[in-house]
Amino acid sequence: MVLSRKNFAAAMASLALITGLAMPVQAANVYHFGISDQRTNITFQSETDFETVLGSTRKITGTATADFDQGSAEISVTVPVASLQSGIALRDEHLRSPMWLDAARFPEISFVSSSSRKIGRDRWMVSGTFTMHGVSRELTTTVRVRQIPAEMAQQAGLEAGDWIRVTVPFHVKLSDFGVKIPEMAAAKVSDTWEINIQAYASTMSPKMAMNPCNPCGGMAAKKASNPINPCG
Amino acid sequence: MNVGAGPEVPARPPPLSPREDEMSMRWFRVSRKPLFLMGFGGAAVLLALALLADVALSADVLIIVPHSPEMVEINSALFLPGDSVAELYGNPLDKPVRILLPSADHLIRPGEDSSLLLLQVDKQAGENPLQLRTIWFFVKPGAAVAFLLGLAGFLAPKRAVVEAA
Repeated sequence: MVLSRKNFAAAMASLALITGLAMPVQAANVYHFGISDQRTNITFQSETDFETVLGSTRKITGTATADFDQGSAEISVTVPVASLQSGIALRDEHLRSPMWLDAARFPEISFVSSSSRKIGRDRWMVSGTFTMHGVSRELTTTVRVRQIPAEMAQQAGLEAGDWIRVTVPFHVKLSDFGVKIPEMAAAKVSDTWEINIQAYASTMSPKMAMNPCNPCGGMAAKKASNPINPCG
Repeated sequence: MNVGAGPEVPARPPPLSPREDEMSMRWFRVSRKPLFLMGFGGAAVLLALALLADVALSADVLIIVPHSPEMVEINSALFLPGDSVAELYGNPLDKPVRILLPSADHLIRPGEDSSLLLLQVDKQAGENPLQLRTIWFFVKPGAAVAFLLGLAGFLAPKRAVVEAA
């Protein structure tokens, strides 16, 4: 088949377009959350008449795909409801019960971004769908992202790979997500939760990070107590 | 005019016998002192203890849910001027909270900002320090009830004596 001049020009234009579109994808890194519980801290805060209630979890899974040059990013994370702890076992039971978050029916809280733009040196405006208690709603918040290149990461004591540190403060209204505060407690418990997330994510996949034979310095490799660890 | 079909007037309770009247008055006399003491005394003690706890035994701290020690090390290595100091050590509450007897080994006075007093509260370890707000929440109604009891103890015998006269 002979390519005419017109077809050739069209093919070149398509190639340029494809290449142009593909470039940011090539520059984007995929960062994995939840490589270790020790790299994550998620808290929620609620006001009552008689105390400030605080709870936390260190469990998170998901990824962030970020292109810092282009200022584009996607994020998708999930937190298990059963991992939320407020410091009082009975209160945690209530929190997971059908009266509140109903962990049995809705075991996860998730966020999937739909758009993002860089608004400062380390600040991004991210919008997406926040799902809790089986109800999804649009959420927009400011996310602080500290980019930690591999060399700097290793100096700071992180394992191999590029890293990011994500810090996100936002709030959710429980009633927006179908969580009805029991009437007995309605006068005492705020409908709003302030949520704070600080989490590290790495380009190294969790599987690689936990592999004791990972030649590039997985976390398991740091455990010198393993006598058969060839990396130790 | 038909007056026979009107509403039934409840029968008046029979008057107390002299013996019952005397017992009732004795009860008032006997209960006056404990009521008075328990009431006013209880209210005063409750308020005094709460005040003591508030003024002498409590501190305003910024509660943080601490990061893991290795996360703090990494954060310290990455710390830049202008970064939040509290976030270096944990996720902070949005405002300070008054805590009763904050544990000294959970307190941090950061070198980066010595005006801050952080209290580490590890929810994963089940920690839940007592907030002053909780104490006052229970003390105020408790003291009010005790005060009313004291007032009852103060007023009731007088009325009984007046009625007896």
